[in-house]
Amino acid sequence: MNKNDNILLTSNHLAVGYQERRKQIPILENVNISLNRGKLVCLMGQNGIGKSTLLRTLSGVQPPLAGEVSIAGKNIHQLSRIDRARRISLVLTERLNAGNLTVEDVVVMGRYPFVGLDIRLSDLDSQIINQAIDQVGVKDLLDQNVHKLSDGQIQKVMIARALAQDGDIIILDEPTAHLDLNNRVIIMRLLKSLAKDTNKLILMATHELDLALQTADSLLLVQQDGVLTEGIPEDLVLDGTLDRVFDLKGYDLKTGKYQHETGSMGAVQLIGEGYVYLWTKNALERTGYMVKKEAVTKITIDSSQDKLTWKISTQNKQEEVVDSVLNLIQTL
Amino acid sequence: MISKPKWIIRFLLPSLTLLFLLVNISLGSVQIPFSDIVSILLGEEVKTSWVHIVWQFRVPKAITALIVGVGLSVSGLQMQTLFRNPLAGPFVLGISSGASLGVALVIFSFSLFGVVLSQLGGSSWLMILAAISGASMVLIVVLLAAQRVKDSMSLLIIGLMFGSITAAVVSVMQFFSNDEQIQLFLIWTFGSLGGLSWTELYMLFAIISIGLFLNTFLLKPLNALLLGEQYAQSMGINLKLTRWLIIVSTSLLAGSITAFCGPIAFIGLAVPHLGRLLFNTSNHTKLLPAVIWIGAIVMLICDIVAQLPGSEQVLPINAMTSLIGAPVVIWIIVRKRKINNQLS
Repeated sequence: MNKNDNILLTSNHLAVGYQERRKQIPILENVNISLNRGKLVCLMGQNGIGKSTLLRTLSGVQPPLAGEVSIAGKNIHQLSRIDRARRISLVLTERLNAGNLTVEDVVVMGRYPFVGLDIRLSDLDSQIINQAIDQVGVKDLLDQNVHKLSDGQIQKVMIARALAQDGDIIILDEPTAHLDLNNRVIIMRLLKSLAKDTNKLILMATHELDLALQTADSLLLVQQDGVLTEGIPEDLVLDGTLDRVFDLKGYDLKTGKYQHETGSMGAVQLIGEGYVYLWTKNALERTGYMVKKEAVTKITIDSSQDKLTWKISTQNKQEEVVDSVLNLIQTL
Repeated sequence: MISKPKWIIRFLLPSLTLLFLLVNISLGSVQIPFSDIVSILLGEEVKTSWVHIVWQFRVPKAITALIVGVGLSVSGLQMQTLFRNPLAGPFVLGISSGASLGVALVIFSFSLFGVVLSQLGGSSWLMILAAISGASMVLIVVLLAAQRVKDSMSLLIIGLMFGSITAAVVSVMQFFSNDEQIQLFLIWTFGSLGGLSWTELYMLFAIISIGLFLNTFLLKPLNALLLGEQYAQSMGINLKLTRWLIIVSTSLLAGSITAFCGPIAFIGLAVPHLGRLLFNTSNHTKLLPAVIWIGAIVMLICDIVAQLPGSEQVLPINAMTSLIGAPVVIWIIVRKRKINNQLS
């Protein structure tokens, strides 16, 4: 396949913002992006930088102040409402309050751009709806009222609805904002696999830096000066763009750790291996010890028995054996 | 096989409507045996005075009750979905007040020209036109306010204010009017389902039919609006057109009913909730037919009770609907959280 065939969503000198009477209030200007199908792209940037406005403009709901947005070469702001809805679907942050609708009612709404006034579904419509329900895994919930669902389940239902709309692009505005960690991971994984399986472009705004770094195919970063940078997560970490965007304080992106002021409690030597070593090191550094190869205090991890033990030995004192990291730190 | 709700909507509710229609017709200040009522309705020869009572008074009144119940309930459902507010309804939002203002203008301005309303042949049309314009004007203003004020309680207060403004303007007009006009208007504000001639009934029926017909274009947009305006837009719904269709439909429904029967409270607010409660759905494809039938039944019952069976007295219908509707409103506020979940 030609490389250009994969390019789906492009913007050309796009300016987004608000029109207030005759005054234009631009929020982001000169946005030039080109995103491929089959990818999960995370739009990231600080709060209030204009991510939501950009997404609304990219989805065609809000007109641009200047420039244009195209899907597969067609300017979306010149498409009819229905044609646009057949290409782009939306998932939002706000907790759904549609109450007495069943999950099925909501997913069926995905077909609204395709059905007539009486909402009669064709065989094809039903087939696409069932497929969306299967792909997201909400089959068991079909008859449930949405107000009885958890936040995570509701977002899944909204994603199923967006899938049923069956456009080339799904745009999500912070879909995981109200979810707990477990559900965030589930939703991100789901989106990732959907992008791959359906060959759609999934563009989501998110603040979940760690999850985005681990799942996104590429990141679209809005820098503080309003410049957009796109790239794969690793490149953006290594060239420092991410640090600039988030102005991270005390968090080292390259190691994925907070920087502690190590060494204030002295140095220790740690002997051991595997994840026990890593977590013990984490605990020591967190509490202010510096882990070095050579130090007077020596800690040896013993994982040969059923139960983990830590042996502390110092030059003059007697050896001590503890059975948890907490005890280890307290003994030190 | 048809599912349970479909069975209820297709058979049970229509049968109940027919039943209450018959009960409504058979009760009144003059006692007529039920068998004779049936005979009269079937066109058989019975006492002429009874035939006259049934065909000229009771049947038009019962049909008016049915039309009013349907029209106000559907209008209430539209308002609740459009404003995403469980307390919305044509009366609460001041739409009925707007219609009243229109009617008051017509009634009182005639006194300025020294013409009594009843002397004018085409006055019904004028009243209807005035009521519908008044209703739509208030609705447009409330809609504009709704876009600035997102808080639903403020919106209801704005509706209440319209009621006050109307009352004030009407008092001012009363000050300059003669007794006859004032009495005419006061009686009108009590609300009455009786007193419509067959010609007026045809007019009302025609206008309500148009208002109801518009709902065939609104099923999809109303459902989509349940998810919120942004989602509705993303599904290709034309919000502007939808709002206009609802304005026209509700103004026709609530405006014409108010013109003929006076401001009737709470039906528009309470019936959609009864529908949601009984059918456990907000999906308009199921809820709208349910609300139509329930509206007809509730209004027929209100009218039956208002006639105080066995007595010669008739209570104002507005008192009846308020007696039934106001507790529903209190119940909604008390259980607001749950209701909010159902509608937002």
